[in-house]
Amino acid sequence: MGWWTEPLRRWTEALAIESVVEYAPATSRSAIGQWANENLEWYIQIDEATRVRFPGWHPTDAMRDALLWTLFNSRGAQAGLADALELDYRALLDKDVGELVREMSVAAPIQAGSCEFWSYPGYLFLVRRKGALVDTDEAENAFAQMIPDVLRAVLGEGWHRVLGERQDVIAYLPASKVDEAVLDAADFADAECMTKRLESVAKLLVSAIAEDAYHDVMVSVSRRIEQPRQLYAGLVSAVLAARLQRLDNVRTAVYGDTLLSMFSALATQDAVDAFWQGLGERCQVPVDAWPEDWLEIVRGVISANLNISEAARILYVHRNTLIHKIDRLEQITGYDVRNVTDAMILYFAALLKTQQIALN
Amino acid sequence: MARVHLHHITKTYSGATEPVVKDFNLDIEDKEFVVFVGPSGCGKTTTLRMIAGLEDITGGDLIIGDRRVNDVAPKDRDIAMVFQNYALYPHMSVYQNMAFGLKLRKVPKAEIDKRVHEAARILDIEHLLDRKPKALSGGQRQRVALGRAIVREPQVFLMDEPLSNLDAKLRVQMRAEIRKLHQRLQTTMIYVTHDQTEAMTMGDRICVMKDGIIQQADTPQVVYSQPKNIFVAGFIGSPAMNFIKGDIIADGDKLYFRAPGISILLPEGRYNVLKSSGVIGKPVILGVRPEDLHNEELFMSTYPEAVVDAKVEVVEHMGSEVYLHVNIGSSSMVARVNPRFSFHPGSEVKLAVDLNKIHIFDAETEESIGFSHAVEAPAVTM
Repeated sequence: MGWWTEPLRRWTEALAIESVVEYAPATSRSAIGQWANENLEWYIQIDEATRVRFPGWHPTDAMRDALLWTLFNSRGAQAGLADALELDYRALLDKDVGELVREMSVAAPIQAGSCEFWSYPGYLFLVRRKGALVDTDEAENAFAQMIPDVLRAVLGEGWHRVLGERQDVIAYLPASKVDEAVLDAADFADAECMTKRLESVAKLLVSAIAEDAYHDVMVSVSRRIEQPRQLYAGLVSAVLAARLQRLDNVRTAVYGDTLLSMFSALATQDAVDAFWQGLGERCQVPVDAWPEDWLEIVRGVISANLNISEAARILYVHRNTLIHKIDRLEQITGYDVRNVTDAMILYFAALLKTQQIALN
Repeated sequence: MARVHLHHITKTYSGATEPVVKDFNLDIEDKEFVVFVGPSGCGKTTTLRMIAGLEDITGGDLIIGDRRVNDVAPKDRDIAMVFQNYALYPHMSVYQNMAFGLKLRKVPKAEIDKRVHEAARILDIEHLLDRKPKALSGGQRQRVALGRAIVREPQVFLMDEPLSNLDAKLRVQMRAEIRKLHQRLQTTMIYVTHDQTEAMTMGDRICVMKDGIIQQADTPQVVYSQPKNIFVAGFIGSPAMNFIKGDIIADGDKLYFRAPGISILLPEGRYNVLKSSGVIGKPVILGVRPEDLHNEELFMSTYPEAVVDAKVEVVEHMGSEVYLHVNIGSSSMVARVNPRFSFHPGSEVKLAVDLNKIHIFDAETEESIGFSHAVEAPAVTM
């Protein structure tokens, strides 16, 4: 959904003509805000990457002038908001977890304008491609065109914007629309399950983009944005969740569910060293000498809420095998993952370890 | 339709020292249904994603049909994927959901309509085309997810744990449906699961993976009856195979497997293999599937020197069978026995090991020492 969408829709309906919004390949880009004719078809260059084509329409000069004038004079606040987001987003990309956390308390510099798709409260969804930068026009085209289509299919008509050099995509979803995007909203009936619903939408986006747009992406979701002046903090929280998501090696992250991960990422090196040292004290066995599969065991048992049968199902080992592995882990480390306190310590250790691996 | 050849495929993530997929070699024939199975982190999903083009291939050649596709964009590989969190768009009708991928590829409307109706007919969901996903049951949603892949008419279907979100009953139903679908479509399918029952029941061939390495790739029957190593033996089969650590002892001209509280005379048919592999006097691991421990008189009399004394710890009544958790010597084992016998925890029972079906593994390498089909012990007819 761009600033041009609504005026364009009104014009095409009034004139009963067809319009196609498409990616503008670098080889055939015209000046922004100008008409051009290619293969006997008229098109308007909207911005660097986008143009609108009017197949089979042969307008007079006056008609073209009128359409162009209306289109570009209705950009208004929507474009201003998007430009501001883009500017801020680029500035946030180089910041580390600590800087991002501090940045969230900064007063809101983004001036949110009026837009029919911005109703508060709401959430920002940040879609980032995994892997290398896209370096061909064709691939760039595929991403720039298909991802917004999939976003619309998942989130419904709404606001989105392609940001930065990596062509990340950011989209806004009003809280009132979240349930429409969740297939099994009834499963998350409790109000406190909003992060679970957002996680579900984020997972759907990842699958849909892989299935329909053939791209491997990570999706992070911002904190709840209650009003326009919290927009900047929301943007920062989405970037922060994306940063933590990379550290934790997961494909989806909702800011509200990243708190432990954020805490471990913020721990000073001295604190982390002391934690590792203390961890080996119970049995005098350094963490490096722990069983190879300790991370897997701990993650499995924690994700099963310490239910061993369920954990065995998740890890796909026999229950007795898992019990044997847990007993062995306890024997070596002194920590029993079936015990809540020990499980918390082991979970935190697993988080730290995963982040260390990611940083190395 | 297409063959898929994976030649020396490796995958190492940037910054990592160890590859997650190591020298993966597999030729998947046209129209074949191959299942990648293994525990989490074994590299099966990564391999599937490399075939899909969602992950870069670090080394080796991936060939689909006659084309090397390592550097071919995913959309040009002529594949379709179905994931565990299958993508169904809540805002769209079933028809629109199935048509969406084709619409993105700018397929003409008439062609889209034809393909959607054809796929709906195959999946028996024509009556659901106007409904929204929220109004569908789990099984119907799963069918729509498959329909979204079918309309693309791909050369290869890739499925990543597509049934994991379903309840147990529906999973059983859907795995039969997918199998039938494969027979109807006659298309190459690669299916990833960590569920060995799914693998055994669905695959023409199953490829058991661990730590990024193929442990064994063969028909379900061969993988079950002739596991190449302890991992495959323990992973395939439920309840899992029993393992007992012991030694092969020569006594005169006979060979025995001995462990605390257990002495089993090994069948002569296996002597040559055991002698040539140099394990006499060395530690080995004996593998016995639960269904190969018998309490019937007939087995006792057929294998008198393979009868062991067991103490019943737990009795699990499964209806058509009973799982006996027993202690034999210092080993815990599970026996799958006939429910017409009654057992009580704490009671003593005698169990005969079916010598035709035993597996012997090198304790050091964990590799199988000859397959069980080489054994020539007296057969039991019941």
